[in-house]
Amino acid sequence: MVKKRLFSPMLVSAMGALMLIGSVISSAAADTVKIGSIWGLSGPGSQLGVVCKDAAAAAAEWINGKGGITVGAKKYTIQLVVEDNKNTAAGSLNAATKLVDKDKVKFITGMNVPFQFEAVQTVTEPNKVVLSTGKCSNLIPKNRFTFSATNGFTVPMPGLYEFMAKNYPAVKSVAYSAHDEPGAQVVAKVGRDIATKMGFKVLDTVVTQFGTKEYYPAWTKLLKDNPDAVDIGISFPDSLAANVRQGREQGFKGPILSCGTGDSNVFITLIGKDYANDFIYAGFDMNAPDNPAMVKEIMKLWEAKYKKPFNLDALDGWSSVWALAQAIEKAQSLDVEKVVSTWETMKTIETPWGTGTMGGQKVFGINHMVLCPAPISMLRDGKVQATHWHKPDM
Amino acid sequence: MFWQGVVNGFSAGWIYVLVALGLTLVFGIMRTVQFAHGEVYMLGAHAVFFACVVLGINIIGAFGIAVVALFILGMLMERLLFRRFRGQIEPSIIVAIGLILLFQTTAVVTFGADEKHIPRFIQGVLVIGGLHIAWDRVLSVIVGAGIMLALYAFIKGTKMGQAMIATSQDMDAATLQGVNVNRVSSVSMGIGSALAAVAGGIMGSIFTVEPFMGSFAITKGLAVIILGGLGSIGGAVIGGLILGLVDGVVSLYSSSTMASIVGFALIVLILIVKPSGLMGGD
Repeated sequence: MVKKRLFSPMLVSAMGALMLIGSVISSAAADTVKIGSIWGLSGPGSQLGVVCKDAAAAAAEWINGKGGITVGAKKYTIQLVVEDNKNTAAGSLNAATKLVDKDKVKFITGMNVPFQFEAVQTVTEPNKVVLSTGKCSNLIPKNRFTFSATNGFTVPMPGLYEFMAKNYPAVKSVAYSAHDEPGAQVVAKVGRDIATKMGFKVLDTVVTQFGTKEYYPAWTKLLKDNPDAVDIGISFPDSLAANVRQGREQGFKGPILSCGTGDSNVFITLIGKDYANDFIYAGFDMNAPDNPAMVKEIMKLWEAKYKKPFNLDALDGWSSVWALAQAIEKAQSLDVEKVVSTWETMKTIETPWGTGTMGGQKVFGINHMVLCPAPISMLRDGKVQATHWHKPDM
Repeated sequence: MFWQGVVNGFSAGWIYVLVALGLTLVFGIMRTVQFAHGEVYMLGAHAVFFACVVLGINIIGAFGIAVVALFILGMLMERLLFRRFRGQIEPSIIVAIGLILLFQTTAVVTFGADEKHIPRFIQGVLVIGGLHIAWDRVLSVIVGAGIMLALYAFIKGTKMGQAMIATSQDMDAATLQGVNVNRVSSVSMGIGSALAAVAGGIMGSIFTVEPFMGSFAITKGLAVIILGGLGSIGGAVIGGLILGLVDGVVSLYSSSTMASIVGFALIVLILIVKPSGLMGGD
C-alpha cells in the first residue's frame, strides 16, 4: 500500500519533468523561414541559372551555419524552395504562382534576367511578396516589394564609358547592339544617354534576337557606319562572347563595351585568346590577390561544397539571399511591410564586394537597389586586366 | 554591306544544309520525320566535345568517334523503336518526342547544362576584297559540299545506295525485288544520325555546345527540307542556301526577326505553287 501511494506521485512528477524538458527543447530548436528561389535551370542560359541556384543554396547554408536569421528571441533557419523557370517568362510566372499559392512563401529570391523577374512581379506585387532579384535595372516606385540585391546592369555603365574616354581618346562615335528584350533595350538607352552626355556621337542601334549566337548580320550593319566603339549591352555570357568574337572576325578592331558581368575565364575561352582584346566589361579577375575578402571566402566555400571551379555569376545568386537575410534581421520581423520599409532605408548592407548602401532614389524614384563598388575590367591579349572600381551615385 | 550579307548568308546556308541532309535522307527512305534529329545533332556535338576536350583526342579523331557512335545510335533507334511503328505517323511522333526528352536529360546529367566549346579546326579570318569570313565557316562550306557530293556518289554508285532509292520509291516493290528494307532503313537512319553528328560538331566549334542546341537544328532542318522537298538531297542544298541567303541579306535591311518571317513566308509561297517543295518528288 505504501509503495502504491508513493508510485503515483512519482509517476506524475516524472511525466511533468519530461513535458517540461520537451517544451524547453522545442523552444530552443530553430524555426524555419521558407524562401522561394527561382532560377533558369533548363533552356538557353541555364548555365547561369544553375550557378546562381547553387550559390543561393551555399549562401543559405552559410547563414544557417552562423545560427540563421535572428528575429527577437527566435532563430530562423532558411529553407530554400527551388523552382526552375526554364528561362522563360511563362516558366517564371508558373514558378512564382506555385511558390505563392502552394508553398505560401512571403519572400522570393532569384533571376537576373529582366523579362523573367518582370513576369514574377505580376504575382509577387499583388500578393505582397518580397522579391530579391540578382539584378534589376528597371525598378519603379509602384513595385514596392521588389529589390535588386546587387548593382543593376546599368550601374557600372558610367565607369565603362569614363574608362573608354580616358584610355581610347581616338573614340568619337559609339554604335549599339541590343537584344529585342526589354531589359536589354533599357541598357542600350542608358548607354546612348551616357554617350551623348559625354560628347560621343551616338550611331544606330542594331536589334538582335534574344538568345541568338549569330551576330554576323548585326555586325555587318554596325560596321557600315564605321563606329569607333560598339556597346553590346547585356546578354548571357556565351552570347556576349560570340558577339565579341564575331565582331573581331568581321574586322572590327575598336573597343567593345558591355555591362554584362560574365566570368572572365569563360569569356576568354569562348571568345578565343586571339580576339580577347579591348573588351571592356563590368567584371573582374577572380584570381586577383586584392579581391574583396568576402569574395575569397565565397570562392572557398563554393569549391569545398561543389568541387567545381567558381563562376563569378555565382555572386548574384549569393547576394539575392544574403541581402534579404540582412534586411529581415535588421527589421527584426518577418512581416513583409516591416522588411520592405527597413530594407529601403538601410544605410549599410554587406555585399560580396564590400559594404554597400541602399540607393536608386535619384534614378528610379525608389531606394530599392543595393549599391556597392562595381568592378570594371578589360580583356587584353587574351588576359583579364582589372581597371578600376566604379563608385555608383544613384 | 550587301555582299557581306551574301557571304554571311551563304556560309549560314551551308550550315543549314549540313543539318538538313540527315533529316531528308531519313525521311526519303523511311517516310518518317525524325523529330529527335535535333537531339541527335546535339549528342553528336557533345560526343565531339567529350572525345576532343575531355579525352584529349585530336579533333579529326574526335569527329571520327562521334560519327561512328552516332551511326550506331541511329541504327539502334531504327531497329528498336522506329521499325515497329513504320508507316504509323502518330506513334513515330510520340517516340521521337520521348527521345527528345531522354536525350536532353541524358546530356544535362552526363555533361552538365554548362555552355561548352569545341576547339576550332582553324583560326583566323579570310578577307577577300573587304569581305570577311572566319575560316571555320569556310570549312563548314567545304565540309557541307563534300558531304553532299559523297552522299550523292554513295546513293548513285553503290548497291546500298541503289537499294535506298528503290526503298524510297516503293518499299513493297523493293522487298519483292529482294532488297532487305529493314537493313536499308537501319543504314539510312545510321547515316542520317552520323551526318547530324558532323553538323553538331561543326556548329559546336563555331558557336557553343549545350543540351538544348537541338531546337535550332530541328527548326531549321524542317524548314529546309520542306522548302527543298522532303526526301530530296538536292532540294536540301537549294533550300538551305535560299534560307541562308534570306537570313544573311534581309537582316541587313531589317531585323533578324523579319528575316525569319520572310524565310517562312517564302516557304509558304513556294508550297502554294509547288506543294511538294522545290525538288520534291526527286
